[in-house]
Formats: sequence, C-alpha cells, structure tokens
Amino acid sequence: MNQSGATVAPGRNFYKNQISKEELEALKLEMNKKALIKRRSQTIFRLAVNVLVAFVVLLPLLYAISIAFMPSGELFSLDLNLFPKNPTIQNFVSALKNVPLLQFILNSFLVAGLITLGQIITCSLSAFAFSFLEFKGKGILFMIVMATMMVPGEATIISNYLTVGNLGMLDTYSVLIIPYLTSAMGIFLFRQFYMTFPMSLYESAKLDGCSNLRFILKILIPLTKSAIGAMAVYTFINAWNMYMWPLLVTGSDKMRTVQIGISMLNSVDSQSITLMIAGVVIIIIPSISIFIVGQKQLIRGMFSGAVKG
Amino acid sequence: MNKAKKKWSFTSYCYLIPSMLVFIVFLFYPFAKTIYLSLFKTNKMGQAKIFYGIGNYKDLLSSPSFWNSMKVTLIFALIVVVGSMLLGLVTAVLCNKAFPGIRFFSTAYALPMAIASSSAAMIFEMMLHPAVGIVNKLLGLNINWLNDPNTALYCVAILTAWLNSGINFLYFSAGLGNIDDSIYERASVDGASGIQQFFNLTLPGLSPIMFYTLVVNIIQAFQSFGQIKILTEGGPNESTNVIVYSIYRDAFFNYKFGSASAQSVILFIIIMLITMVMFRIEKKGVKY
Amino acid sequence: MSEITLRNICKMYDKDHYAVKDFNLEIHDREFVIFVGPSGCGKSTTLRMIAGLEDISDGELWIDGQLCNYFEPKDRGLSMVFQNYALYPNMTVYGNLAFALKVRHLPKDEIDRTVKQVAKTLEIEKLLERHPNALSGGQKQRVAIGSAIVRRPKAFLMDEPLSNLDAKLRAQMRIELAKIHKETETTIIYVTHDQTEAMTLGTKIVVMKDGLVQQVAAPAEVYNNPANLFVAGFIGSPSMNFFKALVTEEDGKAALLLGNAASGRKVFLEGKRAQRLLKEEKDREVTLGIRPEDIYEYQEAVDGGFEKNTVGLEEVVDTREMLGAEVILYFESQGKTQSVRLKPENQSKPGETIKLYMNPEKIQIFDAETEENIFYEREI
Repeated sequence: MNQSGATVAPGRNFYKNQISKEELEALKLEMNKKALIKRRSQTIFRLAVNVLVAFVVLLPLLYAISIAFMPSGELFSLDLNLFPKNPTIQNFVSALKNVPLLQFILNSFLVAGLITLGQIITCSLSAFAFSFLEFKGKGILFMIVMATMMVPGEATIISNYLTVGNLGMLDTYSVLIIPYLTSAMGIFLFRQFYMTFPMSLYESAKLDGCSNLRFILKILIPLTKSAIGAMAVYTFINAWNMYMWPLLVTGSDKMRTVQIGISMLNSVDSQSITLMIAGVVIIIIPSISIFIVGQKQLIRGMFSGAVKG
Repeated sequence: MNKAKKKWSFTSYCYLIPSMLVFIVFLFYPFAKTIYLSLFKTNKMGQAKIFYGIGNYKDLLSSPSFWNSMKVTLIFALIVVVGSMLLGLVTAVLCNKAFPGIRFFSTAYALPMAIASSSAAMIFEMMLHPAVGIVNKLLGLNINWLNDPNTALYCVAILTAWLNSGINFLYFSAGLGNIDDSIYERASVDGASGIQQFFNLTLPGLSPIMFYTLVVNIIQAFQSFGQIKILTEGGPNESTNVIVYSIYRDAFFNYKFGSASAQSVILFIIIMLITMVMFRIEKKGVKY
Repeated sequence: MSEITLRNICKMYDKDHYAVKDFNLEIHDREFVIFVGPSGCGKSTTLRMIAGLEDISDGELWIDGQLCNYFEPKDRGLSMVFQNYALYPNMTVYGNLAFALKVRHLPKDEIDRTVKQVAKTLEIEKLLERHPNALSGGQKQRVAIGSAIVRRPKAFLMDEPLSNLDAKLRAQMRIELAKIHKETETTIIYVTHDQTEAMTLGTKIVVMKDGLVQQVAAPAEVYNNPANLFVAGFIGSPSMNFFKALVTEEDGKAALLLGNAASGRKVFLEGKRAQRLLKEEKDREVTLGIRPEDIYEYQEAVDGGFEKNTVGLEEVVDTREMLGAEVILYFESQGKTQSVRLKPENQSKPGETIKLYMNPEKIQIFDAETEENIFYEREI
C-alpha cells in the first residue's frame, strides 16, 4: 500500500486501513463541501471576469445611452457625470426635429432591405448553378467570382461614381441599391451549403419532373433557411452601416441614409453633443435589434459550412 | 444528345446572369476603368485627358505624403488587427464553457459588429472630447486626443479594433466549438494543466480559423473609412491619413482622379499580395 | 501492482435521478474488467468517475488503498482510451504519444526512448511523423492505445474503443488488445455495449442496467449462471429463448407447462433442481430460459441417450440461417421469435414443422416478478 510514482495528490492522503468509518464520513462531507465551494467559486470567477470584460466592451454604448438622456447643460461640467441627474427625452425630440432622422431611417430600411432581398435572390440562383449544374467554364467562372472578394471597394468606387454621375443616377434609390445586388461572399456561403446536399437530391427532383426554378423555390430554399437567415442578418447590417458610397452618391435629405444623415447632427453646432448622441442611439437601435433577433441564425448559418474549410 | 447538352448549358448560364451583370457593371468594368484612369491625367469631371503612363505611380512613389499614408496605414492595420483579434479571442475563450448568463455575454461580445462606423465614431468623439469626454475625466488628463498627431491614430485604431472585435468573437467561438471536447478530457487524464491545454490544444485547434480571421481582418482594416472621415479627416498633420482616406481626398476634393486611381490599384495589389502570401503560408503551415 | 475498489459508488444528476447506484466492485491487479450493458446503463459514467472526469456523488473510490474520490484526473495514475480516440489533431503521432510524458517534464531522451519502444510494440513506427487525420481508423486506434501505454499507468480505462471500427478490424483489434493486456501486465477496465467483446476479452464481466450492477462474474459464469432474466437475455447471441411456463408437480417431478395443459407441451425437471423449483414456485407462472444451443432435434436427442419422458416442442420453422459450422432456425412461440442452434446437417426448411427437445439440465427458471434466476448460485 504505497503511493506509486508521480501521482501524489495535494494535501493529505488516506489509506484504506488507516481510516475509521466516522472519519471517512466526515472526510467525505468536508471534501464534498470543498468541491462545491471550488465549483461555485470557479463559476463566480468566470462570471466576474465576464462582467468586467463585457462592461468594457459595452462601455461606449452604455455611456452613449446615458448621455442621450442627459440634459445638455449637465454634460458641461468638470465633475465625473456618468449618469444623468435629471433624465430627459428632450434630446431625442430635438434630434428628430433638427434633422429628418425618420426619413433617413426609412431610406436606410428601404435600401438595406432591398439589397438584402436582392442578394438572397441573385446569390441563391448563382450558387445553385455553381453547385448543381454542369456547364462550360464553371470552374473558371467560380474562381473569378471568388477573386472579386480581393478587390477592395475603393478600387472601384471612383469609376463607379463617375459612371453613375454620367448616367445622371446620382441621388436616387437605385444608385444606392443596384451596385450591391450581389456578393461573392453570399454566393460562396450558399454554395457551401448546397454542396452538403447530395447530387441525387437534384437528380431525383429532375426525374420527378421538377423544373430548376421549382427545385430552388420548393426544395433548396426551405432546406437552407438557416443560411438564408444568416446571410440576411449579415447583409442587412452591413448595408445599414454602409458609409462611403452613400456619402458620395446622395446629396439631398430625401435620399440620405442614416449613417450619412447622422453626421448632419455632428455639424449642426458643437454644443449639442447630447443631441447628437441621442440621434446616434436612435439609429443604432434598428441594427442592434436585428442583430439580437437574428444572432442565433447568424451563428448557426455562417459557421456550419462556410468557415470550416 | 449533343444538342440537348448545349441547351442545358445555355439555361445554366441564365442563373448566373443577375449576379454576373452586377459584377460586370459595378466591379469588373469600374475596376478596369480604374486601372485605365490610373494611367492618365484627368480633368475635374474625371475624364481621362492626357496619357501619363506610369507617371501617376512614379509621382506617388516619390511623394512623401504617399509614403506617410502607407506608414500610417500599416501602423493602423497592425493595431487594429492585433487589437480586434486579441479582444475577439479573449471574449471567445471567456464564453467557451457554459455558465449562467452566457447568452447575454456572447451577445454583448458580438454586438460591436452591428454598430456602424459612423455611429461608433460619433460616440468616441464624445468620449474623447477634451473638455467633457469621459476618457479625460476618468484619467484626470487634459489631452485633445483627436487633435494631437501623437494620439489621433491610436484613437481611431482602437475604435476600429473595438468595431471589428464583434465578428472575431463569432469566428473564434465557432473555432472553439469545432475543437473536440474529448481531447481536453484526454489531456486532463494525461496530466496537462489548464495552461498547457490552452497552448497545446486550444491555440493550435484555432489555427485554421485564426488564419481565415487574420486575412479577413487585415483586408477589413485596410478599408476602414467612415470613422476616419468623421473623427479626423486624415489629420492632424496627416497622422491618420490612411490610404483609403487619401484616395477619397484626392478624388473628391482635389479632383486628382488619376492619382487616386493609381492609389486604388496599389491598394488592390497590396491586398492581393497579402492574401496570396497568407494562403501560401497556410498551405505550408497548417497540416491538418 | 494495482488494486481498485469501488464502494457504493453513486452518480446523481439531481436529487432523485440516479445514473449509477451503489456500484460495488473489487478490481485486482492485471484483471481485464468489462462493464457491459445497453446504452444509458451507467457503464461509461462509472468509468468516467474512475478516471476523474465526472464527480463521484457518493461512495468511495480506492486506488491502491488510497481514497481517490477527490483526486484530479492526472493524479490518479490512470490512462484512458476514448471512443473517438481523442487524438490531438495538431500533433504528429509522435507528439500524441509523447504528450503525457512531456507535460510531466520528463527528460527528452527518456521520452524518445519510451515513445519509440511503444511504437514498436504497436507496429506504428512508420507513422510517427504523420498527423492523425492521415491515419486509418485502425491506425488511430493503435495510436490511442499507444498514448495510453506510454505512461505505464496503474490501469487503462477504455471507453468503447472498438465501436468506431468495422467488423473485421474490430475482431483483429480484439485479439491485439488481449495480447497487449498480456504483454503490459496491466489492469484494464473496459466499457462496451457489445456482449461478444465482453465475452471474448474479459476476465471479469460487470453487467449493468439502469445504473445498477446486475452481475459480476467471469465470462463463462455469466453465460452459464446468469443472475437474472436481463443478464441471461443480454449475454449470448442469438440470445436466450424465454417461454412463459406454469410450474406443477407430477410424480415427484417438476413439470413445466408451456401453453395450456391440453397442448401437452411439457418439460420435466428432476432431482435437486426440481425440489428447489417446487419449493419456491409451485403452481406459479415463471419464465423458462434456454439457450439456442441447448435445444436439440428431438430424435437425435433421444438417440443420444436423453430421457424420453420429456414431451418436446413442435414448432414451425420461420427462417433458416446457414452459418456453415451450424444452422440456426428461427421459430415463433408465445408471440416471440425463438431460435435454436443445430448441426448443419439439419435440413428443415421454412414452413416445415420440427420437433425439438430442451435439455432439462440447461434450463434456467426466472421468477415472474423479481426476474431473478431461481437456480442462480451466488458463489461457485
């Protein structure tokens, strides 16, 4: 009865023949308690670290919300004023009054919504062709599509701007939407999903007399809801947050999207920081809401196929 | 049979038409045109007027302003990539094991990805405000963060790192989820401590996704624009004049479309090179 | 030298739900102990409690006389082979084998020597530079076993290690495992749901069901002297036949009526077994159990000297499976599929009637309520 080799546990060791029943019971009780405390303290530690880190990550947002409710006079003091002493919604009211924020939000919803819808349609069509159909140049075409991911938007934005300017399309909805009606990323994501289905799925549908379009609508789309959900959330958020292109091509309040419109608050007058932040909070709400609602979809869809390889 | 096959092919291409049309009109054509423009001197309307050959590139390569913006871009990208990946990794590791409230915390860590660069920039502008900003108040300092050439770049970089950390959290969480739990069990029986497990299993297990994330992050960092436009407009003293901002300014303020196009082409080449080098490294490095 | 004792080990996930209850077992040095049972019976949970991967809710785990309930997995001196092998994907085979030694900061040359020696024993020397994803199932299996061996543990714990292999490889690895057990002279605790593995590998079998140990015994013992209906039905393939039967007394013998009295299907038991049966179960319904190989073709049995006083079964053959060395006939009786294992010369075809004879010496009787084996002999 000796402890063998390198395995000596920390603390006391107990041997069969040297311990009475009462001692054993007491020991078990004590150790169970210790184990429980250890488990609990681990959880608490994990929770504490998370609270701390989450606080740091969320700090800008929390602080922004706090400031949005602060009367502008309160902000201009030398004290550390984290929370409004007299919370007010006046900032929101003035923000909405000073600039046509609702119009901007509407524009952004329209643009982001149509871009999302358009991308889902064009990307699923292309991905379908790339995964189920056979045609000449398929490999090369797919390579070309993938290669477009490497072309930064800045490499095309100047020429695009000149083009749409010449076409007289500046300051319209279509100029905001059309250039973004497809994405290589979306085609890749959908294709990745479609590849997990066996070719026989398509072949048996064909044998049953199912047309390609019907196959996409009735079989592929229902089967890829999670990928579509992920893609929708991702695309919508990105479109909602788009900055450079709308900045270049929109001029009037009627067409401006929120991200551009919000900087109008920035320049109105520098004293009205609280008002500006209230505006920011208003325009953050839609994208965050969509993110929170769609987060699960996003994670499930984005990562079940796309990222592994 | 032959005929049938041909028809089959034609309808096949139809499914690609919507995407291809958009790509051709708004990507391939303008990309080619950008290259074309980069070889010319242009007028204010952006029309190519005088063929200048590689003159635009020559001018750029001999311009201190261009080299400054290259340097700024590199420092900026370095801080952003390291910062956002570290933050993403730490938060993903924190949410790796189930604990009460995990859903709330993982939403919190991913949240920055839902925030627009312009909104974030305005929030940071307020936080960094020299008189009333919380940063100065908390630190008891009186620094004009965004107007000081020594600090402005770090401020926009940290803001960008924060913005990009959200999606990195998602990438790393997915990567951690792909690591088989039983190897940790085996390691604990084998006698590896938590730290040994992290360095021997977790980090290597993340390396495939780490690589992907790195490429995406570098590309994304190179393209940051909104926050710089709002916070510093490239200044002070060109200290935040990253290449994308420089392109924007040359094209739409100075109407030097040729030079801006040349910079766009250089940006494209840099991104392409980085991507290719990274893929080359991956093929050699990651064997499993 | 290693002795592992489990005393009243319990696993509770919540207050009333036991995953494992009152598990008692003595494992001696160099034993090959098999935990076998259907999925969800608690066999893996028990193994993981021994390994330290699960907390022990109650009871004591002694390893070499030392109370180990609260030891970290690494301090228990055991090593484990997982069902999915759990190889470290980022390390080469060499790295996998060396890992457990490396984290213990052993000198490099010693690690190298041990790894090479183990690789030689397992015939995986040529694979040392490969990564796990470049290995076949059988090779992964060897590496997993190798990484368990390098540490010279007090005992190997193996959690369904062969279940991911195809049938042929499984049979091959079974032989290999038996060889390794012999060569390494180590205790092995092995979890499986496959009774063939249990029978062929084990020196001691622990049959479990619903978190409770049903029987602990050597393979032959479990087979011939099952403690209860569950063990009898679980061990053996094709499994034991069960018939409902009524116990009556006829001329001092015990008569078991299968079906109603008029059908005349009766089996007689004599001697001590009859006495015991009549004492405990007279005029009660019991479950009669008999293994397929203990049922014979009637005429053959009588010719072979078995007493004629048993009225045999007459059954209609459903299916015939020719296995070469034997033939298995399936028939339906009392609403259940029963089987009989006969010599390959038997020519009965599906649809034909066959007269069968049950060897009374081999019959087991199970109480209808407790399902305990009346003839079970606790200690032989």
